Amino acid sequence: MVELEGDRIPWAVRARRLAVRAALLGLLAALVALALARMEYRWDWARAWSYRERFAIGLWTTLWLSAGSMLVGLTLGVGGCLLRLSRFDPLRFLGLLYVELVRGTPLLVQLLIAYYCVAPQIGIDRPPLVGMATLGLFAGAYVTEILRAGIESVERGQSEAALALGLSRWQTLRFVIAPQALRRVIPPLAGQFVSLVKDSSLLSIIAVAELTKVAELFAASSLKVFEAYLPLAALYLAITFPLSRLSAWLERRGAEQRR
Amino acid sequence: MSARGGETAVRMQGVWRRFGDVVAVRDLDLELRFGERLVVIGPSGSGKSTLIRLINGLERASAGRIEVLGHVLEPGRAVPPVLRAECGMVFQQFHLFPHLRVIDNVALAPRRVRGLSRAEARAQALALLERVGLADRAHAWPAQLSGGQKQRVAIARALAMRPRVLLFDEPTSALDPEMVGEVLDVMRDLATGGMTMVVVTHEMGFARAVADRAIFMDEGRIVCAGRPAELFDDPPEPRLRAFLARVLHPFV
Ligand SMILES: Nc1ncnc2c1ncn2[C@@H]1O[C@H](COP(=O)(O)OP(=O)(O)OP(=O)(O)O)[C@@H](O)[C@H]1O
Ligand SMILES: [Mg+2]
Repeated sequence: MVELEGDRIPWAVRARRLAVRAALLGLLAALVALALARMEYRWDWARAWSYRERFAIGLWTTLWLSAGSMLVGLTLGVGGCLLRLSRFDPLRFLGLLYVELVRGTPLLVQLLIAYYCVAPQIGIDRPPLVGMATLGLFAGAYVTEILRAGIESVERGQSEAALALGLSRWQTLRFVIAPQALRRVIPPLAGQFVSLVKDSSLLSIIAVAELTKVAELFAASSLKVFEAYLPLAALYLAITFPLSRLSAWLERRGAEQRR
Repeated sequence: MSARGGETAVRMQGVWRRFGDVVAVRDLDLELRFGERLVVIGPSGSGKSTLIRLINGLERASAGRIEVLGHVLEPGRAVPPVLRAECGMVFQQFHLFPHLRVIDNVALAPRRVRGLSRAEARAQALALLERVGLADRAHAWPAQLSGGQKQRVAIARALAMRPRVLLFDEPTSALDPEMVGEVLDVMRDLATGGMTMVVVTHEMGFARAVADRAIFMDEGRIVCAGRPAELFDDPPEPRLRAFLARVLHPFV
């Protein structure tokens, strides 16, 4: 657990570590630059730059779509998890069905079914809304399993101690099990959110003008494939990297508080 | 003191508990009067834990009748929540809630089950921690305590519900030897105060000094019962004699 105590590592060690990391990054960048330079390709970054506003709008769309989907996913995940843990077998079965159906089929197919079959029937014709709902449904199945695993990872003795004090099953879950599970599920939930951000690129197939769709349009009109997709990758990374650092920080903070 | 349940705190009649093919408790009869201190001894796997877990409904009987504090625990029926509240339990592994400070471990159940305000519950918790000698650790996290301290907090936590019966499942078995005494001292005080107690333990000195009655279990049955001193000094049963020899002289 030396790694946890960041501020106690001697500065010389930190400096050396930093230098090595910088060198590795530099080496990697040099390799990429070399590979790109050897390609028979005429770069035209000016063209990409002229597209920056549309990229920005796409980025914004991806952000709020992902955040919205994650909210839907968390809500469905809590519900799914309660189903999975229910004492009533038909409810448990419903929970299982949800998880297996959604996790066992491609998101692409789910999107197509939602957009072309379900949405018209219930009279929704806004692609972003359909996309957010479908993506939320998809994430919810994974969140269900993350939450269930988190709850089941809390030792049986904890719920026995709570029940022995006279707490009801619900109070036991609410005041004893859930708070302990919550800390353990933060990293996998953040991981799920990172996946969700990337999965949202599939919404381009149902004509949602999110980040990937913008890059596709630009690539198609300019034939500048790399200038379209390299910034795309960088922008996704710009969303997902801070997220995973945030999760690592939350995890560490929780660990320090209680030990 | 007890209108409900009369003189008898626990009455078990013809109780069985099976786990698949394993019979943990077989055809067991037991009566416990209010104010009585009962010690349960027996080799590993003899059904001691199952017996006391049947009393507060953490384990349910496969057959037989169990009546605790005037409530009948019928197989297949939910355990009345009041029963659990009035029947405290202390575990071998403490099972403190690691996400709550010591004081909130003790205050949780009175707040949520009895509906005390946060301030009331904490004041009561502090008084109980005082009683087990840990008032100064009230704001520590459980992970910062020694084993003996943890078990004393667990006892305070159980007392917070003002139980009429306290069950102990090997409360000192997970402790380093030098911490056993501090926990037994607290238990001895409770006994002196008139608490009805069922204690699974291998601490023969404690049993002798504190218990009114000891029962020796083997293979799910109560093999013999009696005053601890009589039972230990003149074991009426070869299995008990063999067990005592092992407990008292483990290295011979
Ligand atoms: N949940 C369970 N599932 C299956 N078998 C169990 C379960 N609980 C207890 N048993 C079995 O029932 C028997 C009695 O167990 P019990 O825990 O009551 O014994 P014990 O006297 O408390 O033993 P120890 O001194 O080791 O704690 C053992 O054979 C045990 O394996
Ligand atoms: Mg046991």
